[in-house]
Amino acid sequence: MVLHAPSIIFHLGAWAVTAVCTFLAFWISFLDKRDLIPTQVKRFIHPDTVARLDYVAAITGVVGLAGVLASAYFGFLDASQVANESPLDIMAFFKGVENVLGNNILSFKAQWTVVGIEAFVFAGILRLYFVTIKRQSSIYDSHYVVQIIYAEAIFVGYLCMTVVAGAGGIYVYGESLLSGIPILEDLLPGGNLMAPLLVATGLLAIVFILSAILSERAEEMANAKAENKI
Amino acid sequence: MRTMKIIISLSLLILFMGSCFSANVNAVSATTSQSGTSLQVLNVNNPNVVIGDQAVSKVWSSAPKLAVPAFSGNTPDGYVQFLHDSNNVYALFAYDTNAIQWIGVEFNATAGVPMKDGNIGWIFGESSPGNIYYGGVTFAGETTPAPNPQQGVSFETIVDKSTGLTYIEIVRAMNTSISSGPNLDFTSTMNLNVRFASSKLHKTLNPNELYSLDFTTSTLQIKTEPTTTVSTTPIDVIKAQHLQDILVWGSVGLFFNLILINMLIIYHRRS
Repeated sequence: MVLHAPSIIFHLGAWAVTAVCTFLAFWISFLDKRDLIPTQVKRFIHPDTVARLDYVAAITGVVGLAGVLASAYFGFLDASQVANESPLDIMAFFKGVENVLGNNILSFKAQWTVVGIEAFVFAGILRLYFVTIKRQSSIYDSHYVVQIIYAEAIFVGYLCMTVVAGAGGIYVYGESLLSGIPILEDLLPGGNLMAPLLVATGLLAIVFILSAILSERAEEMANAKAENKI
Repeated sequence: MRTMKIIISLSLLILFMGSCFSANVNAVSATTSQSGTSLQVLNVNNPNVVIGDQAVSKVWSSAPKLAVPAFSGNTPDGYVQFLHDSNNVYALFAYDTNAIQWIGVEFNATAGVPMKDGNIGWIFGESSPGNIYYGGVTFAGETTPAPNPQQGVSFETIVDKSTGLTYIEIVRAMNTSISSGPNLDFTSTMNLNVRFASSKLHKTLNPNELYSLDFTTSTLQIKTEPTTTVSTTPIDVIKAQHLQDILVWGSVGLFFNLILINMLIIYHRRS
């Protein structure tokens, strides 16, 4: 019973929507706050567009998270190569885990699925705090650094899922849709771009956070000096 | 502060556990030649056929091969190679990637009776959308073969864009130790009739076209090449290496998430 192949549509589709909505919401919010959207275009953008896109991204993010966990479980079941395995066959699951660890491509998929899930969880934690707990209308009412690392986490997570899907194509067919595309093919098994890309992304996020903290600190110190003089 | 220390300690512990394993994995690639209706399955010492290294093992460059029209497209020509030692039978199937979606072999084939009920075979690839075969099958007449994972067929798929061929490298135990149900055990002196088929050539296949695998105790003379020494890694070490990679990257992500939670807690208290 092949369950993994039909199940991947849920998390890949849902997280594609998350990525698109995040991209649109981020840029509309960025341009709108700086009055860079032409008036003729702004007429077609509802005042609540950003909040609505953020909401859709959040819902599809949760759907994707549930989907990827199920798809990963089915993937291990399929990797066990047990015929007509039941979805509740835990022994087949463990056999699948063992087979995955013994195969370069399948372990690549497992590794970057874990990273992709953690990237989406990172974004989810940010949204949970600023929107659910702090009761903002959307994540885009937060400090610009929060918005940047939120969007960055979602794009990194979606990139990981895309690469994992490409690796799946290589496992079954010997090559994937991403094979032959410059840069993207270096992210696939056998390439060497995935780790440096993610390390650079993490460092970039840290740079943004530190710069925001330092600039606010400098501003506080300047204000304190100005008040002392007064 | 105390929370921060606990979080950092946990993260470092996870990182340390992941880094307790280490391994080196090397791989080699290969090329080949030959044709006919019978293939000698020679005995080989230390074949170094590794499943999961994403490379065609070097031993195949020395092994005899059999051209198989069912595995061939316009160009190049598909072929099969077989070797054995006391524990395993090894095979390399090469087929035209662009023309063929699945390939298969039926063992103990009977002339005029394709896919004979109860015969064991190997099929690889996608026979229909969503229906993917991973090796061992049991035939039940001219219907969809049933997967037979008890055969314990290990394999990997390697695409070589320079030749246009996809290679399937296969390892299976000589003796499966299956006590009941359809089974095929290989011996070092058996002669086995086989039938090859593929998505390109199965419905119009000549049912009388059989090939012969002639197992022999003669040893393969491996061509020596003036190359650097190659070390291959046992599968257990490969598994440990992969587990280490997953744990390391997983703990990096977990570390970032824990740091974020801690920062938000501090921020929340201050605000």
